[in-house]
Amino acid sequence: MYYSSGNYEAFAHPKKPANADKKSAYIVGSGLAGLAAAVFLIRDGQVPGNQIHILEELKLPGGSMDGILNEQRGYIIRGGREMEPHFETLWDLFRSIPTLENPDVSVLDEFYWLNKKDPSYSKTRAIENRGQKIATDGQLTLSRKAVEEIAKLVLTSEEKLGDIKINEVFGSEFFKSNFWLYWSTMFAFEPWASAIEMRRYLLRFVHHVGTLQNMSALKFTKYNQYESLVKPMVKYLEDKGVQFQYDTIVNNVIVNRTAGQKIATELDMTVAGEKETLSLTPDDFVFVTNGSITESTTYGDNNHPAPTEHAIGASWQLWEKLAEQDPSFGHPAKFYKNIPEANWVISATCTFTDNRIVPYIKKITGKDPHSGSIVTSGPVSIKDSNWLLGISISRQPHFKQQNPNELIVWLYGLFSDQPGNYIQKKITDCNGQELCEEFLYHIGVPEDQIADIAKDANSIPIHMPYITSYFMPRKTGDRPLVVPEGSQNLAFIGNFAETKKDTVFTTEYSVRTAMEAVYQLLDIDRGVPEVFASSYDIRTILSSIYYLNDKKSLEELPLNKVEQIGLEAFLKKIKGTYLEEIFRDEHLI
Amino acid sequence: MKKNNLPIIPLAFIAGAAVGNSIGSMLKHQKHGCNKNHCCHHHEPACCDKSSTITDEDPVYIRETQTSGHGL
Repeated sequence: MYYSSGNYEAFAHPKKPANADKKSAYIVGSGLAGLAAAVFLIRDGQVPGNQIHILEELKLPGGSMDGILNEQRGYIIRGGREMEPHFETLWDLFRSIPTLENPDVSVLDEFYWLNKKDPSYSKTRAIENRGQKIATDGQLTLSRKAVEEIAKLVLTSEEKLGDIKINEVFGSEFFKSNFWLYWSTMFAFEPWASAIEMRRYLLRFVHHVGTLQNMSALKFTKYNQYESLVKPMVKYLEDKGVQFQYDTIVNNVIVNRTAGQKIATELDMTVAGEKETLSLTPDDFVFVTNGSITESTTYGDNNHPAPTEHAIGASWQLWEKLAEQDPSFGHPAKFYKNIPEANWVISATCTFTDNRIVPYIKKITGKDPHSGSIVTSGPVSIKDSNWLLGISISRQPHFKQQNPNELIVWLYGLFSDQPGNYIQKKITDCNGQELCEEFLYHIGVPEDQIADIAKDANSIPIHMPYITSYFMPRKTGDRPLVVPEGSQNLAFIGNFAETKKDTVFTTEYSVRTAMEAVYQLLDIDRGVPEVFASSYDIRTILSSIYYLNDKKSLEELPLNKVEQIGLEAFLKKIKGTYLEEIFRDEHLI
Repeated sequence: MKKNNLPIIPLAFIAGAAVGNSIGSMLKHQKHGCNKNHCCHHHEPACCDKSSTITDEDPVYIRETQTSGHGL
């Protein structure tokens, strides 16, 4: 496998790999990574669809890519995906998936047209004092020292950041900046999260520094991701003959390790409650989605909190069983044990039919939530919320069958160890109505209306014990490589498999690991699109310096005498050169 | 371009980066140099700007940055 960029490789079709017809695949987990692996096996590997088996423990596909109308509970979304134009493997995938409505239109085309017509733009990124936009909204407010800390982290190698937390590499000035408020709430970074992941995000998304304050670079699906992304992929795969086997737990994959080779030889499964084993040959590929951030999810309702007790899920148990067999299969305990209490575990889906909240949403977002356009463009963060509550309102309707008078709001709180500001309970102890009341309080609904509106709404608390597991502090080797060294037919896919440079907690990471797994095991002779190389682009780096300093040119920076003399000499030296051109283009001079 | 101008290019990049980001000025309270929790509260006050000390008046999300995630 090799990486590539540019249209030459992007538009070429690889030749059929040797013995593709003899290969079979067993894909554990039907989340985005598993579905993408199946698509790449068929499209690029030319493996017959009926020789691909997707094994799913639940009774429906999609994994974390959810969105469902539950007959008893109502509309449920556990989250929403923020996407951007440079999710290179994701768009490589969806260019080939037809929409459900029109087989001649790809999911990518539908998405592209929609986001051209209705682009993302956030008028307000953060509020405080019950619905008031923060005074400095739109500025990153980084001190010079904080910018230096960012630069230092970026310049430190991953190997030197093993098990280090974000709050070990930044000081109080950084944490008081709007940059941290925007960054942490947009990506769900906790202060104790992995500094390695923070560094990867800074490099991976350096081209978005200039739009952090308005989210204009983000793109969103038409409906929830289950309807807009998962269903078209499932139809594509079913049409190709792929075998979906639900209610199937893979308990273990037996791996034979001899002479430096690792060969999966057996699957131990529980199918509809019955134990089964399946013998494998080296022509049978196994793709394991190791770990899950939404497994063990529990739900509450308007009157009951989501239960916090849960068993360890099958994906974690399977990873543990694999890790016991070989050290190169990673260390799952690093990601699902000892998760701090001051953590995001609760989100809520609130469905309103009471239009009394509309003016408050309009005041914050500047948009009519029933207009059909994007409403919040990512999260609006509540700076003075003890839970660090975030609000996200997608295009309405967010479900195809949603009624026009229904408005769906998604909430999440990044700190679960504190009582709320209005409801004096921890977020984990709140029922749906209480969560809704806290939200209504923060957007400025008069207190005498809060209980009434919240009671009328349908709010479902959702407890996800592992939702931030991707960001647990880690070091190299804690995640298995996509294809571990010596593996002949076993690959790891999803956000707990290790690939260079890309950032976890993204749809792109799921698809990238799937593509890399398929291309390696099948030896497909076409480049995997490299992670977008903006961090190697001098224009982007210069632009990020401009925006990190809140649109200051070099001459406007707070420099000491020596630095000022150095700057003057530098500007004199580059006068009339290419360097002056690019510094000027990026507004630094 | 004249030969004697060629060395200017790498120098210019270095100078630009240094001015823009002060890359040369390395952190004083990185993990490997100085532990934030120690230097901010105990023996190395120079590591932290006193004007930016986190207090009980700050929002929870800022105060939480001083913990290891187990509550304030």
